[in-house]
Amino acid sequence: MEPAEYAFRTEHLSRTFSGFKAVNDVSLEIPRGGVRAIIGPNGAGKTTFFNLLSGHFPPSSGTIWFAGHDITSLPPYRRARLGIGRSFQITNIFGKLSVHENVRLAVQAALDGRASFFFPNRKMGHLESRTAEILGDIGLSTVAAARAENLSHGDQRRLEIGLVLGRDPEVLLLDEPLAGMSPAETEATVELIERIARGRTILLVEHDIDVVMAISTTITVLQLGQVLAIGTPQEIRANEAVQRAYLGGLA
Amino acid sequence: MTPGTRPWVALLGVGAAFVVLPLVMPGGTLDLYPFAGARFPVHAGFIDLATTILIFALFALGFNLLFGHTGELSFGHAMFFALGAYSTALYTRGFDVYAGPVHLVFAGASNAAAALAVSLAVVALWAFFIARLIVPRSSGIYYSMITLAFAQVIYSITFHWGDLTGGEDGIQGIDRPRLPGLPPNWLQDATHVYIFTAVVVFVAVAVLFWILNSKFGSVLHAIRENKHRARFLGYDVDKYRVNAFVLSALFPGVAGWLWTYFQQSINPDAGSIDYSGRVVMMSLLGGIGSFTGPMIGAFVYWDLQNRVSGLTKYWPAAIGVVFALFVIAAPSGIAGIFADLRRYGVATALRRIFSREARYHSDVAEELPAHRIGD
Repeated sequence: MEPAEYAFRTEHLSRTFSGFKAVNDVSLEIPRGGVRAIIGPNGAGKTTFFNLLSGHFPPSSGTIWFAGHDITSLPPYRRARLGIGRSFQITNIFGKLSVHENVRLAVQAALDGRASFFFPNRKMGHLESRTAEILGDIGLSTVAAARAENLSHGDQRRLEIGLVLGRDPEVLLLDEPLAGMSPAETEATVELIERIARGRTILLVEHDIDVVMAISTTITVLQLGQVLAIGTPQEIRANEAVQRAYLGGLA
Repeated sequence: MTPGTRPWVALLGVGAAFVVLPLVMPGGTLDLYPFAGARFPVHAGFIDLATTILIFALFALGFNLLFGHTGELSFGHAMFFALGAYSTALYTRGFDVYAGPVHLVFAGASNAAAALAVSLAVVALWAFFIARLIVPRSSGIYYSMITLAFAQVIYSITFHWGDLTGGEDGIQGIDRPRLPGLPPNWLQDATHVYIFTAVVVFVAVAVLFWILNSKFGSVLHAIRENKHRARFLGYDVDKYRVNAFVLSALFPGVAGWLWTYFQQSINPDAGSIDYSGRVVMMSLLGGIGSFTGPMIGAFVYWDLQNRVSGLTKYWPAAIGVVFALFVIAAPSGIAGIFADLRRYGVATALRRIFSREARYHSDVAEELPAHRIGD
């Protein structure tokens, strides 16, 4: 199969929750590479759209393509194997396991199904070095032995990103990675996102408009489950429909 | 401690415990409470109590692969114990019955290894069938209830299909096998039965230890902690849950095989709710979050039962009270108390038992990473 030009393509994608159309007939193509932000007022359908892409639940109608594959009905673990990684808005880690174990579980997921899976965890040099590398990337090497649930909020959010990096996915879906972070934590995490964006496609849902404007290649604005506008940060800033949707306007 | 030493230390400890175990039994040379000496209700002789403990330790360890390590509670694990035991009994004794129009007949044979293979095949098939049925459809209390229902199916077959299973009376007079390289009557001696059991259980413990310390085992822990996240990392979670269920059934199957040879008889009790419940109690008493916890629990349960049953016929009530106290005050079991003592010292460990706050923050699964290899 020849490599597709897009990371995701959706055709007439809809998801209805008891009559409410959270995502309503969205057809769009998300190009490969770059940071692709999805913004919109609360209830615009950002997280639902994310959940449809990652396989959290199936769409009510429509089709989702990922790099040439129709993934509409694939379960989440099959999508992860294709190279889609996702982080969660509400921190979703293995709380009682160590930080190191959390990341190693993410790294070794790529070996799932092989017979070596029954061999003891020692003598897994490549897994350990990759784990150490990710721990360094997310700045958690010093707390690797701590139990994940005991980390600070900001560190847990970074671990969340580390888990997504484990399989080295082509496409990362980051759902509000900066939620609840202090300014210093935000700065470090933005720097991390920019670093991992190299050679990958990042889909970003984020409320921090300044960050979105600063790091996005393109921005897709959703409103009431539909695409309101797509464009570069400058184009979005200048878009009147977007200005109206946000009432106060985008500074 | 450097990586790689701990598993051998742990297994050496288990081996040493198996050697000492018969000696600390009531009437043994090192009896801990000679004054409270009671009689063992099933057989006379302390060595038989030690054999019983080891067989149930294996049963509980297998059960805890599912409960403590994968986070799924089966209320029917005695069905696998019974399937292993009955398969061995029927293989040894043979059968000649009609299942509807089908004539099932087998003359019986005495090969212990073949009996084990047959037992494990039967257990694995039944466990796989159940797991494939319930894993994609249920979790939590519904999962537990369905395992209970399937256990009742096995129980009712052992109880009512008298032509095959001997019904309520079960099957008696099952010959112990001749072991290769040993005199024909070697297994007639209670001490030899204990040695045979200890060797088998030790090997099974080592296998289980290996499994839990493999990548496979770490995924079970991940599933226990957060199924949802494990899925999004790319793990086929339901496949792991099925495999965990089958694996955790095989160990009780081996225990059932040993039980038949030990008792030389088998009856429907082996697959009863009572036995399924006991193994839950043993695991919780000992500590479901620790690898050795269920073994400790099996020891405490049987030792307690034996001593208390010599004093009063209300012994189940006494065990019930001890069990309730543990669940309330020390949910991570005896192994959890030991871990607290090592980590915090006596004062804090005691405070954790008696303080409500510490209790609320403690967790049954909290000791799990402590036994991991190389961490």
